[in-house]
Amino acid sequence: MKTASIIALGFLLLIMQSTIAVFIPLEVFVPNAALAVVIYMGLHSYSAGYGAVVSFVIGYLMDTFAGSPLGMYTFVAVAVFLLSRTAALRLFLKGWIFEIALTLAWATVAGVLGLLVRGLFDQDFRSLLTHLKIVFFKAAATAVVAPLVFRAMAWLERVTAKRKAEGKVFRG
Amino acid sequence: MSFLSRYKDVFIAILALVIPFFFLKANLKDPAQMTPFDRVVVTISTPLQWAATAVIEAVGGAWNKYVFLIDLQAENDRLRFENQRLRAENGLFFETEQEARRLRRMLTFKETFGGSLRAARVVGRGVVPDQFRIVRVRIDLGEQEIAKGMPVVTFDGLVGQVNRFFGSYSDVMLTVDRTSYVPVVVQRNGAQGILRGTGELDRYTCEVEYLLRSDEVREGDQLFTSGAGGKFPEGILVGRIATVQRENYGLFQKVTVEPAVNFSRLHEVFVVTALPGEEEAGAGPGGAPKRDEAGGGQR
Repeated sequence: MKTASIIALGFLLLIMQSTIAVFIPLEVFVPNAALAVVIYMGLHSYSAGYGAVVSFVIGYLMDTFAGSPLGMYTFVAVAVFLLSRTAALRLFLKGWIFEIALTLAWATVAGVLGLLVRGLFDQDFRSLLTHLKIVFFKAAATAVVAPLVFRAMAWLERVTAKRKAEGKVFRG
Repeated sequence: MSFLSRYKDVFIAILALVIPFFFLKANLKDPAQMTPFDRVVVTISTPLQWAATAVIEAVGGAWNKYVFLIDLQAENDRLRFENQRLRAENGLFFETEQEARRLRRMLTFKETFGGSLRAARVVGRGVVPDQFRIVRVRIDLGEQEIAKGMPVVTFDGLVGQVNRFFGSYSDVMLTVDRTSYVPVVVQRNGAQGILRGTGELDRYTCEVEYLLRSDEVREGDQLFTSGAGGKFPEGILVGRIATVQRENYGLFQKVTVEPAVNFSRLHEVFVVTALPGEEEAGAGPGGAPKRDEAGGGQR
């Protein structure tokens, strides 16, 4: 239930961001809200296996939505989840300012990772360097929406936990 | 606890990290350079991709339709605004076209009129409160250019006469004013009388005085200036007879006239500075002819 809810949220956010993209004149300012879901899982107490699988699915959906080479965002999403989880920066996650700051940092890492992966296969790092600025703008846009995504995730956690508890009581 | 369950999370995490890497490697490769392993990966990933795309298109399509409706609303608002703007623009064009038509008619009138005319623009209107009836109009010619009592006309007919000056502007007393009188002639039978304004506040109307009972006039007869007295030029349309009331006694009959000019729609007028066959008098105080001294005008 919880897994399906998180994936559904990621899916919904992807639909929304692809819709919003039409109305935002500059593509660089379109937030990657689904990535914020992955970062949230990395910054909270999600197990490595569980988080990696959910990040894999969300990343896969991101690839499908973005039309990027299949596996690119999948790899980036899983990598960002594992990196953010390992860094254990959740200790500093107090209030929306930190949520924005940490999302900015990890979204930038995700962007740079994406560039590196592309560069690795395209063998053209020089042209990718020009995209660094875009990476930062996109990360900033993602960071701005992060508090909202984090609240949505927290709400999902509460609802699914409550349902689970109710189910246990019902079963006896 | 077995080794597998102990490191389950780590295995899953590594798999989740490695699989997309192979997906990417296989998908970015030229098909000609694919290894058998790459082919297996692509074969596995293709149906997955197809399924994901189908779900996205189904859900995303429904969502986009909803957003399309929102977009339609915005588009509708934009078009409504555009429509209003075009209507306003169209109104302006219509106004300009009307003005051009009026000016063309005025030009024709000026060319056919034998005397001297000065064109003036109506810059103000005196209105009866609550009745929206015009009692006088103000034109943009002053004492330096025209004189008191000069007839004011349009291609529709007689408007009135210059009455007062305000610097470079002047007021025109309309033919419907109670103090206005104009010698007129009935076109159909040549019967003569004096047209006098009734000064009614709710309608534009005049009366013909001194029209003999024996003169056969009827509703719809056109009245023109007779030129008697030399103040108003001869042959300017003044109005049409609206009602005729002939008593069994008395010398005259009571005739009401509907003016030919719609005073509410005056934009440009002519001031007659010299009658046909008359030399134009020098403008300015003392130079302009004092037309109100004889031949009709103001009581």
